[in-house]
Amino acid sequence: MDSKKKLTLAVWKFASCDGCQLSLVDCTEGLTELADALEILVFPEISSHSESGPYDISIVEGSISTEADRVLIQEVRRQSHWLITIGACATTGGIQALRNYRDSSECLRTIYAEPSYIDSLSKSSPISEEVSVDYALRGCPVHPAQLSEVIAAFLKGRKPRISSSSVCIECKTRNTTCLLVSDKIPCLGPITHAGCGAICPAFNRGCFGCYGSAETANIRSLSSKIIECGVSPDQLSRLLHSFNPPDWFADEEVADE
Amino acid sequence: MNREPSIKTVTVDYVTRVEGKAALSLTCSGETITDVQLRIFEPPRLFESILKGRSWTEAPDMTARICGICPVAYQISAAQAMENLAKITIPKQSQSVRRLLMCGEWIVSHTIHIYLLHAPDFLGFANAIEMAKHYPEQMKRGLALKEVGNEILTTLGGRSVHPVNLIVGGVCRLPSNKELTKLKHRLKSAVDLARETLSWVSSFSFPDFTEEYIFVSLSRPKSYPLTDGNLVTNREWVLDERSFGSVILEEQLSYSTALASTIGPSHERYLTGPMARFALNGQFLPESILTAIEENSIPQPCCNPFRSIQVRALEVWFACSEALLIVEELRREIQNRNGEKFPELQTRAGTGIGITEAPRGVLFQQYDVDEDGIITNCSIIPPTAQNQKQIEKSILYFLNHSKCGNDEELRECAEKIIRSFDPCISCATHFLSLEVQRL
Repeated sequence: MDSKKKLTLAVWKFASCDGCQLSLVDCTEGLTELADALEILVFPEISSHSESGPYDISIVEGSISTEADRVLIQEVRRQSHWLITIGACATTGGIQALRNYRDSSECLRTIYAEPSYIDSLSKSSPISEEVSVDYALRGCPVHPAQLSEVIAAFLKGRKPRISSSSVCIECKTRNTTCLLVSDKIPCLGPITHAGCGAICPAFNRGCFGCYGSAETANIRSLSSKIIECGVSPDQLSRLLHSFNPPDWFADEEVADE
Repeated sequence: MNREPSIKTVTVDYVTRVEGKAALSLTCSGETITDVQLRIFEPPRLFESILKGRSWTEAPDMTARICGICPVAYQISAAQAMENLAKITIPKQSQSVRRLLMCGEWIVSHTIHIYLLHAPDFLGFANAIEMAKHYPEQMKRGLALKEVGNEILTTLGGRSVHPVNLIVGGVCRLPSNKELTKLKHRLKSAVDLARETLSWVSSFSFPDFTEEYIFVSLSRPKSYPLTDGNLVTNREWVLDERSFGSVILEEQLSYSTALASTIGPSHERYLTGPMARFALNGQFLPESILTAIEENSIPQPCCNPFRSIQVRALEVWFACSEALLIVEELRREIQNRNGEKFPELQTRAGTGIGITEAPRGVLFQQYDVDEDGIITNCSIIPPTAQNQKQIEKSILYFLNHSKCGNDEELRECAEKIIRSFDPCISCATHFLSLEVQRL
């Protein structure tokens, strides 16, 4: 095979759990398919061999939460023709962005006796706040099939076919009975971005928003429905602020009403 | 020898083929390595802080996000902590589903380590992609085995990374008879794949290197530990849930974002994970695996970290056999069931502890919860934080033992010994309010 014609790939990790990179391993027949289509130049998680840029595609997992990472992401951007973020951390700041709404030095003191040794910014930011991003794939974690589709689309130079609808629509497609309507179980399905395949309602549990906000989300309307289920405003606020906290934080006052 | 008889530092800037980001500094004086620092530079995500103020029922899903490789272990230990605190007994079938999920997680995590991360070291490749070109059949087998683990997780948990079925009080959904039948067939073939994996890795040649370890693991009467048990060691300390926090000391190192653990009055290094589980519970493995251990001359206890690939392989085999037993039991029960009652979740103030055997070892979580069910304090001790100091010691000992020539060789040897411990840096980087600081 002529490796010179292959597009080159680099995979980068910032603040994250490694789960989206694992989805990358899962979505590609354990890398062999990926290796057939792309020349992997950087992927420290699985290879001891790294090569310097430039790269055709960079896949980025994780959020920016240290000064060192802020510098590194600039370099990654400079070296990459396309930059794709994968997962909630890279796309919205992730669960660790809950610190953005707290006293961050207090957060550090809770854990470290000597916080001064720790390089940690007061905020966890999505990659798009630091550099321009060519495509952002949502999910905590990303869905392997969606990730395959995004990579395939970039290889062919077309737009990824990723639905921007809500989990609610996926539930209807699956023929799952609506938990919110029939059982008064709090569910974020109507405002959550599609992509997971509406797993939680199929497992008898309300959606808790791993994929963040759908493009059109009527938070006010859903909030009053959820309050009607007997959920306190505090509980609702926590439900909205978990895995993609910045997405719904602007609407906190709405939830509190 | 090329090394100058003066003090100098060698660094490995990014330890590859491990989960997460770490670097290594070695201080050498002439031929001898005098100091080793495993610098974990994984950005801190401050979980123990962001959990404060959250509801007790949110802990399983939130802590799962600490690690994408072992989310089930986080979910189960968090749920168990809360169930202990609120004195909830979970239904038997829910317990079986949890154990099955954990089997799936062990299979996936260990198989990835064996085939994608560790085996290339023994066969002389920089990564599994290169290795696959020369060992296509073996790679196919590894991926098929991993896929069975993923199938358990997806069937019972909805997805393989951060499954959604497990909540405080039990699980949300029991599998159907049809799903279990399908899993049963898959697991039967997985047992064969696991057996072949053990023979394959046993054919590797291992460096002649052993150490003495203090082992810590969970232990159950007459069975191999997975989701519960009592803490045991090969030393004189009596460990129990409550004393763990005081017997184990967490300290901050100036060069690392992970806190490191020591054990006992003289703050000794210790090891948790596959080698510890095997050393302390190996006799409880199924007969067929015990026979294979003998046939493949696997030492027990296994005190050669390079041979841990064999221990992981036999644990994959155990997880497949155990999963098969659970699936058969669940099928019988689900056919005859009258429907299990989900326990009532009553908020209580108190402290709860949950401990499981994550693929990489003992995972400890402790929570204080107030009368409104809000978490006021928590501490989480993941396996890699516990192993960090032992790994450093082993690097020092191994590098001095193996007499590497130039710096490049040193780097390579150091990475190999680190990898053999399968550290999960993502896990290691958070945690615990500390008691003492020694810098």
